[in-house]
Amino acid sequence: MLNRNIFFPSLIILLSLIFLVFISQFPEPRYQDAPVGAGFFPAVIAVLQIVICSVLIFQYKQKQNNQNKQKQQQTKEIPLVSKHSIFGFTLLIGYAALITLVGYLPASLVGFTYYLIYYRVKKPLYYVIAWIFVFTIYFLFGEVFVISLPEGLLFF
Amino acid sequence: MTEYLLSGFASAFSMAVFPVLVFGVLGGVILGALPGLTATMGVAILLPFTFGMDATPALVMLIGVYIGGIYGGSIAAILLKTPGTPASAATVLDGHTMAIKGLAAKALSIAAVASFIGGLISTVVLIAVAPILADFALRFNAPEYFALALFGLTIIASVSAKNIMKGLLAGTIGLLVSMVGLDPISSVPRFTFGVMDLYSGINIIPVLIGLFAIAEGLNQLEKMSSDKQEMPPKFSYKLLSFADFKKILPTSIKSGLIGTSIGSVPGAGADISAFACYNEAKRVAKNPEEFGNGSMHGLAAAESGNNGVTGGSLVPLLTLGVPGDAVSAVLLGALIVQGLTPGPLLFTQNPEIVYGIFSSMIVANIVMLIVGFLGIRFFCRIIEVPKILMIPIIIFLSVIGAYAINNSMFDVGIAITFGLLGFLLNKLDIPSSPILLAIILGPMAETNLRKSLIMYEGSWSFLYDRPIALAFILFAIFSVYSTIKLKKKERLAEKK
Repeated sequence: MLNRNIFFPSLIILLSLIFLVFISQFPEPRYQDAPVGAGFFPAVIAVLQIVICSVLIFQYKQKQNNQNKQKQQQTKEIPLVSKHSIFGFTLLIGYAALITLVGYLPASLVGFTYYLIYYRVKKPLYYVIAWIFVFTIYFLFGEVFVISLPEGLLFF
Repeated sequence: MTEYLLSGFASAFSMAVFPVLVFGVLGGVILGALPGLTATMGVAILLPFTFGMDATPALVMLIGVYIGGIYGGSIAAILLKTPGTPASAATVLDGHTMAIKGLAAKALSIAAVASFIGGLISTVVLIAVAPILADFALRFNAPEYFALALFGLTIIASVSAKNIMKGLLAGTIGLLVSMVGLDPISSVPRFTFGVMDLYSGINIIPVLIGLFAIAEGLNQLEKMSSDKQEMPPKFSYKLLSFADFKKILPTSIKSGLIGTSIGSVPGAGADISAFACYNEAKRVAKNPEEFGNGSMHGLAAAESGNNGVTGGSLVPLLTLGVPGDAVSAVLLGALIVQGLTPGPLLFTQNPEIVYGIFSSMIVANIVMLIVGFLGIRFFCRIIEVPKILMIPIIIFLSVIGAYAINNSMFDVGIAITFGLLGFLLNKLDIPSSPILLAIILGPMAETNLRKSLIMYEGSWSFLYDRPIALAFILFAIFSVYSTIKLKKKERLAEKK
């Protein structure tokens, strides 16, 4: 399995190289007084990123060499994503999608209730608190501070 | 100045502002007390609520949340060994040990008093120094602003937890994000990929909501199942005595001053300040071995140090338009939303708002002290709020908050993207705060560097022939040098 300490800096190096290609296509300054163009700063940053990531990879390799193999086997990496974080991502993206379609109120009621059901919450009080929270936010934003909340594409 | 301050006090005690101030402090204390909810997140969550409010109550409420939030973080740190905010990480060292020894109420009362002293010193310094700095800032031109931004960017090294390179990487990610949109000098579209929403650049508030609130919500969600429910320690009602107060007063004053100085440096936050003050208190202590074993001085230093940042961070924000830390970055957003431009002109164009903020900060610190003492019994109940309810509240509020900025689902997408990025970076031990600081300081550095080069017809001599710019560049070099030296020392100490 690819190590995250190698994979992430390598990915950044690759992205920086792609950025450098994009940056080279930025138009050059047309007037005489502009010594540097729009690409100067991003190019410096992209090069810096490549240098930093190379150092990070080197640091990691050096650290690996310094540790004895037995120790390396003992230290298990915490997984990057777990079942709960995947549920979190899904809830977040699903909520954003639902809010776009049906608007704040139905999306929040459904989202919060689904979350509590997913975690097998049996206390009815928690459901009541969740719904009160949703309606309170709706009231606070809509009525008190007059800030519009998403109304949903389906209800337009 | 005095008349503006007095009218500021009158405004702070008016019916339009005082309830909002109390609500802000109380809300901040509660948010800060809940593990995982930082003062930054509290201010970010409540920011959309201020969109429909007048400038003074809106800013006062957010500052109340800031002051309350920094103090509130100590409550969970003392009682549950779970710092409510990163700023309270140093508070755990002695605060929780005191709680274990049955001195929970005493520890909480020391935290409240030290926080009050730190916050008050910080506000007084802000009032005294800010107008002078504002006059000084009027002498700033493009080269000085570039040097200042560069200095601010070098502080990224010190915000980087263990590995400076990782902090710098986060900083460069932030700088690249800040380049998205039309180039500030020649209006060339950069990294927009034909997406119209990207032409105006990436809004900082959804980025902030994503990096702090959403990422933290996801982290907490993941921890929720693995965490064993830690029972709150038994509660003793013995408070701080007058003799104890006299003992901690010098440490608190010194830490308040150090905290204010650290806070006024762009990029340095309450977490760094708390540790710096703790270390300094330990360095000069007669019995340094007591530190970590329930030392009142250690607790007072950490708490006064982190609250000292509250006023300090507003010095560069109000006078130069440069946020001192992540919270003041959100406050910068709040000022812009209210149609105010932070910087030297704020003092001449809107003095009533500036001095209103100053007076309200003093009142907010007093309110925080009262809330701190009155709430000692109540706090034990609040920190028992089940995470299962808090996490979706954080996530849903973040989505709504991101939408409410521009009524745009695009901003929600940005918040979610940065939420996921923040979550993943956290797993890779890469700090998120440098991203935010770089997004803020990046455009300032770029615009002013290019303006300076145009002014000097392509020559880089502005870096050394303008005294203020040169001073900032020297500060920047010193800042990097001292950070590297400090980190080396820490590494050596760890090895021993």
